[in-house]
Amino acid sequence: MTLGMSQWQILSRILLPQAMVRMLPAYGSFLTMIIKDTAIASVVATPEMLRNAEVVAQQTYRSVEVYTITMLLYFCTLFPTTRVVELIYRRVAHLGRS
Amino acid sequence: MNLDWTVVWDNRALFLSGVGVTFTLAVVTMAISIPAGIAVMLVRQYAPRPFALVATCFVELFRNVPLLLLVFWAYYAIPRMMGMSIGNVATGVIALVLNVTAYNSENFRAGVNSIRKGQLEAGLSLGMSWWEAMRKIVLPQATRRIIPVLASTWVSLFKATSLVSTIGVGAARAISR
Repeated sequence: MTLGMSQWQILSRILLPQAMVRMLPAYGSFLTMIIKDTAIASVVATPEMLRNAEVVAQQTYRSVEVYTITMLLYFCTLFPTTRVVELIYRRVAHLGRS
Repeated sequence: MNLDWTVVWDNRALFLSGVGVTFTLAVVTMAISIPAGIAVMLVRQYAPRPFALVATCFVELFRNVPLLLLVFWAYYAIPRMMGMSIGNVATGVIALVLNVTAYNSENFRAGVNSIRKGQLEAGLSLGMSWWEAMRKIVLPQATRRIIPVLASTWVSLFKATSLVSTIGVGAARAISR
């Protein structure tokens, strides 16, 4: 304000950049949640990971094996995602301090 | 659009029993997974390294797997492992418990870590055993701090019970199909 910035300038140049950095951890867990919830789309036969696993399981009658491997696949997708977001946050966390 | 809402009223008994099943699932799951979450957290934080590693793997695995897949997996794997079927409701509860326990243990971990170490040490210096100090001093304070988080876990658990319908438990959603 004292520097003669407008309301919008304050928001876009000072507040939002800091807020974005602080939002990052919450946003990261939200991202993993969204990836997990994509599995629900299989209920309406969207051909994603879980649906394809179901098809394979039904064709081969090897449900336990198929679903165990699918679990590991999801884990291998989601765990690195969480870690990468954490890594990025640790690198930029100092930008969020005020 | 030609909608006929009367079918809902005509089948009200089914809907109500579905609500009952949803409540039962949520309450039973929470009743099991709060103590289980505390136990996993304690093992992860304070047990010797191999045990802690197992607990960490448990939490990270079940936190990072979609609940729907967990439900399917439990549905097929439990009869194989135990050699008999235990019924759809119990299978649903097991899947939910695995998932919610992992989340609860993370919640409690955050709670216990937020209590300063001096609290535990003060208890120990008064001659309490470690377990007494943990149970009477640290855990009550931690629990009070994480009540909001537990509440939101509770709400998402209520919604998650609808996923159990995929293996044929008569929760509110399954009946509406």
